[in-house]
Amino acid sequence: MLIWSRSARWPIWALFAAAFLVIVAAPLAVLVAAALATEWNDVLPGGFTVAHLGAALTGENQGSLLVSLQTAAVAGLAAVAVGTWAALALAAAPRWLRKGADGLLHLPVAIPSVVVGLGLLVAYSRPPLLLNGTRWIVLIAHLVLVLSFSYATVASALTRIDDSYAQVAASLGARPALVLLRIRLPMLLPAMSAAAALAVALSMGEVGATIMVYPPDWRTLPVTVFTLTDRGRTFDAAAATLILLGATLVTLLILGRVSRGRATTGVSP
Amino acid sequence: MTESSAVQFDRVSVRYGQVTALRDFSLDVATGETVALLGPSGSGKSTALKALAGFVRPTSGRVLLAGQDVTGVPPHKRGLGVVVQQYALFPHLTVADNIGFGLRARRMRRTESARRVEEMLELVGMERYGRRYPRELSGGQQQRVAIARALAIRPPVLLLDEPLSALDAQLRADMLDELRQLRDELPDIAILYVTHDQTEALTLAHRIAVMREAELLDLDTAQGLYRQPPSEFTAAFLGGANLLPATVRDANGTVEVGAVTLTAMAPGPLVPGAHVRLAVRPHTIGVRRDGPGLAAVLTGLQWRGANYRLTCLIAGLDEPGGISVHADVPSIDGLPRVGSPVRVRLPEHGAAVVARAGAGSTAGDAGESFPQNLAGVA
Repeated sequence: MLIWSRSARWPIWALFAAAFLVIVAAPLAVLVAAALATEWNDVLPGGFTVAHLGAALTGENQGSLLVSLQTAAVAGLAAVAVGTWAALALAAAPRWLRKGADGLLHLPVAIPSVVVGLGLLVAYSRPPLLLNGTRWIVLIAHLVLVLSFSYATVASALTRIDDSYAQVAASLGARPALVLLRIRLPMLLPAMSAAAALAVALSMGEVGATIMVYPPDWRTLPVTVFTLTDRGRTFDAAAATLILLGATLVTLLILGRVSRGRATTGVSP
Repeated sequence: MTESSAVQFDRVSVRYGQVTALRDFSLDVATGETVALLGPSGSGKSTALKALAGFVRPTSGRVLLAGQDVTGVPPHKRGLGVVVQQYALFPHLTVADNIGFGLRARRMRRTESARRVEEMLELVGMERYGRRYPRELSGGQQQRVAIARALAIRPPVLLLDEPLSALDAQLRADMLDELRQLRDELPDIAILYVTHDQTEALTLAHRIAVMREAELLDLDTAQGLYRQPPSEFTAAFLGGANLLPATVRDANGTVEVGAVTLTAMAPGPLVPGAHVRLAVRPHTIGVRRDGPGLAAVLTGLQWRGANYRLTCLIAGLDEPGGISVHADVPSIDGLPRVGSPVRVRLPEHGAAVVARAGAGSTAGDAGESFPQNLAGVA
């Protein structure tokens, strides 16, 4: 705590609490209330129902939830695999290549997701790479958008692992593949778990690029929420959002548990 | 190269872009011998070790192990034991798995590997720690595990890269004793020990290779280098000798420092009348309030527990501004305050004529009157 005086701390805490209430807690509370409301014509919602939540877990909405989970799992896994491979490969690459590839891998962070979506739409709408209208274009869009974060997380952890671990392992007789599998990857596992969590969280919430490329049979939950809101079905949209939030949190908790279990034995991100 | 050379560096150079990290380095290490690579940071000693381990590829020259050229052989095929500065114990493996890593990598059978691990744990006195993780060990224990891991594969050569530098002073002294014992228990292993600490080098090494600016400067037995340092740099770096200008009076080692005449050890017959540098160890110098000796001014005093380090400025001696010398004395009884005149007494025997000059040595510079290489030595 930077402020030592006890009396000066209270106003700071009060200010923080007020800001948190307005910016984070109030929208969430309204979301929960809307998801459970029968009507909302006054200051407070009119009645209580779980029908919207029920609807969010059945039919098309349930399909969207499963699509979101699958998209996040595939994009997250692919992003961690590609990001880790890129980080390991570039760590041993010449300086000019490392700098160039590093910039390229970070590019999607700087580009709005709508631009990524449009780019993929234009690029994959003609043979031989005709992916427009398939689920693959959604998966690729998500991979492109989350890869930067996975790569950055693993690459930054890798810089904190001294070369001497791999060197000593090699001196003990371990071939490069064994050094990678038994030493380098286990030491990177906490960072890889964190990268996976970040990728899943970002993918579960992605809407900008997805809305431009999704086919009718691969509609993610955020797109459904957007559509419901657009049609004026605010309570159903709120319920779907709540489900999205819950599913994301559960996934992150599971990944967090893996990460914590390994954090004491390797290098944290 | 001798027949029993376990290690041979043959004019090895390592360059990183424009920077030369090791230049024309040649050295033999015999089986059973411990050689210390001693030098300041950036002197190339760790690069030499890395070139031997295969962690860096020499730009030119050859590295030989037991007479076989291994210059292009990858590290995992060299079979060397390596202990690095921060130990690099694998954090996700237990102590036993760390020690057994090399054995498993060599596909040794599990039962045999377990037996060897037990043997190694016993060797370093860590029998009860096999199931612990590295983070649960103290610095000294981690170091023992790192040594056990390196020795488990029974390497013919053990490379130690500043293995004590991460420990505190007391632990370092204890571990130095243990390393010396270990060295005596391993008569068939050649040890290359990289350090910047002269005490470690003097305690452990049969021979010391003094490194400076990416080159091997001097190579001799520890006692030889200490008693008769071949260069000013070695005289100063190994034992912190004072370097005083002297004039040779006769070929047998009689020299004059100012008005004081003394007998010095010399690497060969001296040329009468030649100007040379004399290495004088701080503990051999006496400082008195008055009496015989060189006139000086006491300019500094440090209490160092067991002794006092005095700094005295000797005027004259053909050096503009005088020459600062250090003296380690057990007591300062009878000495005047800092800033007062004193007499500096040089030892009648024990000083050594330094054969070669070298810039940036210690108190007092070589000066232009002192020629490079075998100055004053016939």
